[in-house]
Amino acid sequence: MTNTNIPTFKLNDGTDIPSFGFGTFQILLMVQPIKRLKMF
Amino acid sequence: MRLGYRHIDTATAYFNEQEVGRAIKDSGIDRQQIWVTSKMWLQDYAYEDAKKAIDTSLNKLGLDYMDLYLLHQPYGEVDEAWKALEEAKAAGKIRSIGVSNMTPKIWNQWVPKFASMPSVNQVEYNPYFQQKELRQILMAAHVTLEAWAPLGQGNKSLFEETLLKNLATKYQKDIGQIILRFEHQEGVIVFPKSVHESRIQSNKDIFDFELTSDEMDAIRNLDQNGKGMHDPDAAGVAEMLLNAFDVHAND
Repeated sequence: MTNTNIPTFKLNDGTDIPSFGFGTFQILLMVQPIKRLKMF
Repeated sequence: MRLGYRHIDTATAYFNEQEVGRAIKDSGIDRQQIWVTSKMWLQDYAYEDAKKAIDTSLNKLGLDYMDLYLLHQPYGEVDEAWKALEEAKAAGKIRSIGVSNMTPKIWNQWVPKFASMPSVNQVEYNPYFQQKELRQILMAAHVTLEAWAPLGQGNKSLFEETLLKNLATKYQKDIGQIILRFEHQEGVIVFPKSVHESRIQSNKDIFDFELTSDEMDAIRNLDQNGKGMHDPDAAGVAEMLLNAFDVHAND
């Protein structure tokens, strides 16, 4: 894998992973209404 | 992507795999240059469900392989889900496989039963919660720690630490950059989240300076040697998470 200026770490399976990335985490309470919408 | 990010961390339970896939496609960047991590939610851990969940993630992302796929929570039929991940890796659907939220206790409960060693364990980690016992276990097994909430998720006292303020002044960086640089030098993979373009840009500007050995030791001493915001070992956590929502409600 090539990259921009971000270094990589080598995983134990030999793969090079970019050591820095972007998280898209959303807290659970924000997505709970999705279930409620389905129920109605 | 425009700012140079090439590693995206998503999950079935974030309900945004489709959006992540669309962003990758719209970026026009060669797939080989992008690292995509997603995660299986625990309602899918039964073996047949796990196989389907992997294909569902691939379909939502619009990809023919994922770079890394994790078991998001360490409860339920973990061994069956892990077997499905191993098989998907062998089939080329996933390049690397790992786990998440495994404490030392949970790691020792499950991993000895696995046929292969996870490549990563994604856990809560920040200067106040450095997971020292877990890191010893992972280092011995050559397993890389990935940090969720690497900036302490809004812990104001962390950002008021005099040590971090002084280092920020010395290196002409902000405190978040000092924390992320510390974690990088510790060999920890980080993926901070922000919705602000200026913050997304500044977060990744940590590769033009290096903390000294003494400074690393000083930040290591900020560890409070306690529990984090989320305790995977706590009673009732598995049931709480399993009942929180249905990740396939809108499929």
